[in-house]
Amino acid sequence: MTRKIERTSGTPTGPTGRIGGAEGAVPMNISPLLRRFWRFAQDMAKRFSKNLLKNRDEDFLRVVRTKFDDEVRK
Amino acid sequence: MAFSKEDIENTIVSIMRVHFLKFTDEVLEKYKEQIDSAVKWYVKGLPRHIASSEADDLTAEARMAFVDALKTWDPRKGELWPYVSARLKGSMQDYLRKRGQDPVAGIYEFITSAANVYMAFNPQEIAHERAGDFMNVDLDSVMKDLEPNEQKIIRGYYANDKTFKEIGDEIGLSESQVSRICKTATLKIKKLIRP
Repeated sequence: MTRKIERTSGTPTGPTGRIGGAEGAVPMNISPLLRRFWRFAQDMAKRFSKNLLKNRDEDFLRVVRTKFDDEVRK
Repeated sequence: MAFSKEDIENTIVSIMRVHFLKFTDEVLEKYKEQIDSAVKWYVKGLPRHIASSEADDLTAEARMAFVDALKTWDPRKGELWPYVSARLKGSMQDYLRKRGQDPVAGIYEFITSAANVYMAFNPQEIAHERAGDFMNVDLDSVMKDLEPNEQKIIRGYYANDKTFKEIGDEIGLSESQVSRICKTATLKIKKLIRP
């Protein structure tokens, strides 16, 4: 006998393993060290971006992705 | 090599801050009204004769303090505006305090500096026994140490004989702001030419 499972919430579920949707995902092509601090970086990007005329979260994260390893090596 | 959590967070914040400072104009634009109201609020509490003559300069001073504060703001410690607004008031108070101390303070130094900078820009005009001191100055390298606005003002004033009003119209600043920037830049150049 198969039991039918019914949804109790009207909110659609997101793809598994992606809390917060695609934007919240930790990119794979970054160093493990930065990956551990990725949530922090996202939070800081939001805080900086909030003071600009348009949303530049992604821009800030891109810069961190490209410069982080060099900065840490210094 | 082991890094502490704080080291990593500092690195991330400093990378972002450098990028953030590239958008200084955008931040200024976003907070323009708040800066203007902070200045208005401050000016309202001043004696009328000071308020009328210093309002422009206080606005410029507040903007400069705002830009300086961006360089040290840490988003982990709170929002930008509360951090900056305290500094705006402080910078306006400092400015008035300095102005109030001695109305002719620094005028002699400014005049001699202005003469030196003028001679550096116009060596052909020099009929002075110490002309040699100014003939070999590498103005291009000296000018590189100035802000873009300072460079325009210095070139306009000393090299092209323009008035502060004309320069102000070109770069969108008031006559008194141009005069003040020119004075600061002149003293700066003097130090660079003859430390």
